[in-house]
Amino acid sequence: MNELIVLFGTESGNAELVADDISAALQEKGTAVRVADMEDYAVDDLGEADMVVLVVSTYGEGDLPDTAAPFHDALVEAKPDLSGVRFAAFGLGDSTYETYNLGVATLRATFTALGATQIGETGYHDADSGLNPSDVAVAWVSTVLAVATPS
Amino acid sequence: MVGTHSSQHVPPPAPAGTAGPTVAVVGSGPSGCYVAQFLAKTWPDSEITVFESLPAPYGLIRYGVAADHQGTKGVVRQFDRLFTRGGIRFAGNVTVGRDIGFARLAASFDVVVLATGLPGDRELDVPRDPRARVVGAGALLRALNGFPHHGLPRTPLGSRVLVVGIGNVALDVLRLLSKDSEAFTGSDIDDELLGQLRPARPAVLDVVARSDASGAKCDAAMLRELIALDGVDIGAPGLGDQDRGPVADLLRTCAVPAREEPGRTRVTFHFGLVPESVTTRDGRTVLTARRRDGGEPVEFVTDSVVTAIGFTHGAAQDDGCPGPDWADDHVYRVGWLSRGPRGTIAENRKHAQRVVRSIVDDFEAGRITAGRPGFAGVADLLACRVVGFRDWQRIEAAEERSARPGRCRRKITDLDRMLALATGAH
Repeated sequence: MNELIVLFGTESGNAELVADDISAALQEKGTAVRVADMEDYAVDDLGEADMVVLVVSTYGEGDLPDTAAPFHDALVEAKPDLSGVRFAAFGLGDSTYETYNLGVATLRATFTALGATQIGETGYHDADSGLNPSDVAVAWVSTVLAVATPS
Repeated sequence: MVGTHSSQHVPPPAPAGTAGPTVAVVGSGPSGCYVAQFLAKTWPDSEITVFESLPAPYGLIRYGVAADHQGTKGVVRQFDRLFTRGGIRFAGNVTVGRDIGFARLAASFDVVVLATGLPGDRELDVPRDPRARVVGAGALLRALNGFPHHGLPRTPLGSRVLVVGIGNVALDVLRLLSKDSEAFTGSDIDDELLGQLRPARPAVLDVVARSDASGAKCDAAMLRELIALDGVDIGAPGLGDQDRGPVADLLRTCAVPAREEPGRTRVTFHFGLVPESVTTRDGRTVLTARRRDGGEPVEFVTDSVVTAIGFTHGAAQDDGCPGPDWADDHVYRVGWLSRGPRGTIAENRKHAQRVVRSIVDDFEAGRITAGRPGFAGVADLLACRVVGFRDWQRIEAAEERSARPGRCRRKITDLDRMLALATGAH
């Protein structure tokens, strides 16, 4: 695998921290990783990475965070062909809300509809669990990448 | 020595005058910490100190966010990292305005960011019998959150409690008062105070709001959480077909007739009522309200009234509260102190981001300059009292060790004990 990009959308900064920690864990294993805020990322560039890891939380009534919404709008608007894109998705949510992890579900559905291929199961962190989201995410990403690069 | 390679590992010292600006952030609540985080990212060479009155960091997150919302409190993981790995100094147990004058602080740091929030409860502006039992929601939430202060409410609120206001803070009060003790699993609620304030769940909780249901400021998700509690029945008399919005829709679907079963809590929402007076009668507290659309005044006879109608700077005589003279070209305000008591932690993050952008713009435009000594300029004054982040972690470790079963920590509410733990003198 050449380059992997971790794209985060955050409202309170937790998804950014998780994205940073996923990146650090993968770099330790020798994977080239770049972390970017969805806010600063052009959807036209999505084809450049070998694989995209989406890390996103859920806010309000199941909405995407403010930094992820424009990125999602741009996808819906521009409808880029993502048939060459492989992606993995990790959501941060709180299961005490009915709208638990709807944000990542929205993004995943849009990626898939545009032709992208999801690798592995969607990962979830439940804020109500008391677990550290970075620990959950790092464990998740290693299983996902095992699927992505079968030895 | 020829060909030494040590220089590859040790960065050369920065030439004098090229180091980044020195920054003081006053207040370690979410806005203060977000400012420190964004500034450290933009200016990795800056020296940043976050001052905090208490030996414990995080202000609103630790003491204001309800104890049973640990998911929200999880945001502190980001800030822990700031202080453990990010090179940012925590200067706890230092009250700016008392332990160090504002002028001295402003003279010592290139940038000063005030992030002291709004710690006081806004009072109900109506004639009030001093014997009436009226408690501010902020004080109540702090008490249940283990805030180390003696002036907080401690005695039972009673079995009939009235809450004024219908924002998210009001919903926190309603939920905390009507939740079974067992339902606080995983939280860090102060069980001792919960037992003192609420030996048993109140039978009646009345909510009085000026607005109609369409104008209710609380999040629907917060209301749903209350409705879903075991043993809670909801009433909403006077809710009209014309009332729109998620709050009205939710209340319409969940309102049930009162049932006479012991141990249940009846929460009744009254909209369009403007409080007029708080009096006492036969030892009970009576709130009288006027309907916005006219008609007879309405009277509620209660054991106590909890006001959840916003926050203020706190007491006027409090030296630690920024006055209008706490200002200069290199002094900025952020968060609730600047914006008023509105918006979530995430909204304060956005505000912190904007403030940091303007600080950096001002610096790049030469409107503010670097050169003041930073923490070194105040260290002599504070050396004996500063609680650093490692010191705080000793307090935190003790809190986690002493957690009761089913609780994530047991907060230490005695300042002397906190300081003893901080200095390792326990």
